[in-house]
Amino acid sequence: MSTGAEESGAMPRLKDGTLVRDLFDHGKRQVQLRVHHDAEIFDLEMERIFAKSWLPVAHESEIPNPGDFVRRYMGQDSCLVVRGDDGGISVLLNACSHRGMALCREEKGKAANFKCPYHGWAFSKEGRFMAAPFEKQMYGDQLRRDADDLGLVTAKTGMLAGMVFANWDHEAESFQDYLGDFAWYLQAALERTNRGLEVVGPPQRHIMRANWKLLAEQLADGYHARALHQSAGDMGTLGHNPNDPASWGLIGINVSTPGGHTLRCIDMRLAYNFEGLSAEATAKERLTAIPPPGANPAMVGEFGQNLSDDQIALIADTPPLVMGLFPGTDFFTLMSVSGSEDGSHGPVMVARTWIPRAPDLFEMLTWILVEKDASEELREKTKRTTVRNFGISGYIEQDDAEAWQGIQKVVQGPIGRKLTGKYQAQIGIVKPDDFHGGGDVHAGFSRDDAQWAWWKRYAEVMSN
Amino acid sequence: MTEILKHDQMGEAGAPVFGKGRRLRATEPRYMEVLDFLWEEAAILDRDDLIGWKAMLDEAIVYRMPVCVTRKRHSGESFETPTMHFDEDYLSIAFRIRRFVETQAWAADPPTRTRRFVTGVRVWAGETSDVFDVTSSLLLVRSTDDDYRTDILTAERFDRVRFLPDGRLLLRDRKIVADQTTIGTHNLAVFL
Repeated sequence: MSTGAEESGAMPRLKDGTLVRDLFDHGKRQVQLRVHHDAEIFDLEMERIFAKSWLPVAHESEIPNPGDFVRRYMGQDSCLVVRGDDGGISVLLNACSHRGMALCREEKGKAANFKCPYHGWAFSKEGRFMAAPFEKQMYGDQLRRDADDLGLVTAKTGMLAGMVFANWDHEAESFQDYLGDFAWYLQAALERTNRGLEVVGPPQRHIMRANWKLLAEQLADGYHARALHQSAGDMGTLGHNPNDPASWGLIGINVSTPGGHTLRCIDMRLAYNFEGLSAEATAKERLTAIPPPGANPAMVGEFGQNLSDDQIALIADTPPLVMGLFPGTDFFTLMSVSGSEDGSHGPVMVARTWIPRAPDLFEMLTWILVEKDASEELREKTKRTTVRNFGISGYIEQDDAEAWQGIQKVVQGPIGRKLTGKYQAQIGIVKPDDFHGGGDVHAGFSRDDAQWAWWKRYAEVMSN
Repeated sequence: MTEILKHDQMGEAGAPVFGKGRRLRATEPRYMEVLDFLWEEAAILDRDDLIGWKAMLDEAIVYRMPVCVTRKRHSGESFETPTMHFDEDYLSIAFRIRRFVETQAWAADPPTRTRRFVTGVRVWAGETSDVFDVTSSLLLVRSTDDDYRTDILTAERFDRVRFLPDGRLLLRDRKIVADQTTIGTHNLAVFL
C-alpha cells in the first residue's frame, strides 16, 4: 500500500493524525474542504473508490462491430473497451502483462487482436494471452503452461441505456444491485423506446482545474441555479419569474439512495402550462403533446412496451432532470432550452463522467445521446441544443466551471481549506402519495438532502 | 452514427469540396486582403470586441469545431469525429455574444484575456468568384484572473470568406480542428 493514509486493519488516518471519518460532521452536515486538496486523500480515493466502483467507459454504439474498440480511463487506469466476435463487450486494462507497456496507442480503432509495441506479446479481443515472438527460443513451453495467468486484467461490465459500465473489482456488487432503486428511474428516462439511444460520436474531453468531487457532489444542487446561472435568467431561458423558485427548476422531487446516487425531478405540472390540454389528460396524452427530451411524438406509443404506467407517469409529470450515479456518472436530460437568438427550443441529452487526474485537476467527458429512431430533424436539434447548452462550450456549463475552479483556488490556502462545505438545509423524507419511485424521496423545494446523501456515501467508503 | 466528416468537407452536406480551386500566391492582392481580414479579426477578438466580431460574420455562417481522436497513421480513419465542441450558426453565436456582453456571465466576467497568433495562411479560389477557401494555423493563449498559468489552444482553421460588392470581407464558414483531443482549458467561453 503506497498511500500514507491507509493502515491495514485500522480506520484510515491522515499523516497529521486526523481520522478520515472526522472530516465529516454528520450532526451539522458539514465536510472539511481539505477533501478537495490533500494528496493523501486523493490517493485513498483512487484505491477505495475508483478501483472498486462502477464507472462508465463507452456507449456501445461507439463500437458497433467485432474488433471495434475505444481507449478510455477508469480513474487513472487506462482501459480498452472492445467489441468481441460474439458481440460481447470486454473492458481490459491497457497494459501488457509482460512488462506493463501501454498496449494501445490510439483512442479509437479496429483490431483483430492487441499486440504490444515493446516485445510483441499478443492478446485477444477478450484479453487472453495468445502468443509472443520467438516464444520457443525465449521461453520454451513456459508461456503455454502459464497462458491462463498472462491475460490482460479485465473488469466486469454492465450496461444501462447502451452505456457500458465497468468495475475492476470482481467481488463488487452486481451492476443491478449497484443501480438499486435508481434502475426504475433511469429506465424510465433512458430506456423508453424500442431501439433505444445511441451517441453522436466519441465524447468531448476537456480539463478542469478542480477536484473531481466538486462536480460529482453538485449534481443534486438545485440551489445554485439562481446565482451561478443568473445569466440564463437574464437571457430569458431560465427563471422567467426571477423570484419564483419553480421558474428556476427548484420545485420538484429530489431522490437519493444510501449508495450515494442522486437525482432531481422537476415538476412539469408547474414548469410548463398545458394549454390546450384538459386537466384530465392522461400521461400519454400529455407526453404526446410535449414529448420527453429527444423523442418524437410518434415514439410515445412505444413507451408502454418498455415502461410501466407508473414510469410513464413519472416522465410525464416529474421527469428526472439530473441523474447522478456514485461516484462519477450522470445523465442529464432537459426538456426544452434555447441557445439561439431564434428563440427556438430543443432538448439536451448527455451522459458525463469525470476522470480524476490530480487533487486539483480532473478531466470531463461528455457524450451526446440521441434516440436511434428519432427523426433526422430532431437528432440535429438535439445535437445542437446540447452542444450550445452543455459540455465544453455550453453556455450553462461555462459558468459551472467557474464555481468548481473558484473553490479549488480557495482550498489551496491552509486557512481556506479549514472551511467546511455546509449542507444543513433539509426536507427529510417527504414522499407524495402519487409518486411511485423508490429510494429516499425529498419532495418540495430542492434542498441539500440528496447532496448530503452523496457525501454520506463518500464518507462511508473513505472512512471505514 | 452519422458519417465521419472528412477533412476536405465543410459546411452543410453537399457543399463543394474545400481547397480544390486555384491556390493564390502570397503576392496577390486578394491574398493580402484575406490575410488582413484574419489579422483584423484576431485583433478584434483579442480586444474582446464581440459586437465588432459579429459584424465580420456572414449571417449564413456555419461555425463548427469537431471532437477529434488520436488515430494510427495507417488506420485510414479521420482525426475528426461527428461530435462537436461548437456547432453554431449566426443566431447561436449572437446568443453567446449577447450573454457575454449584456448579462452576468461568470465565465466571461471578468473577461478572459486572449492573444491570437494566426500564421501559415493559405488561400484558394472558391466555388464562386467572390468566395475564397482559407486555411490557417491558430495559436490562442488564454489568461484568466491572476493565474500565472496560461491555457494554450492550437488549431488548424478551415475558413470560407466572402467578398461583398463594396470590397469588405465576411467570414462565411469556419471549421476549427484543434490539435489536442483533450482540450486543455476549462471551457470554450472564447471563439477560435
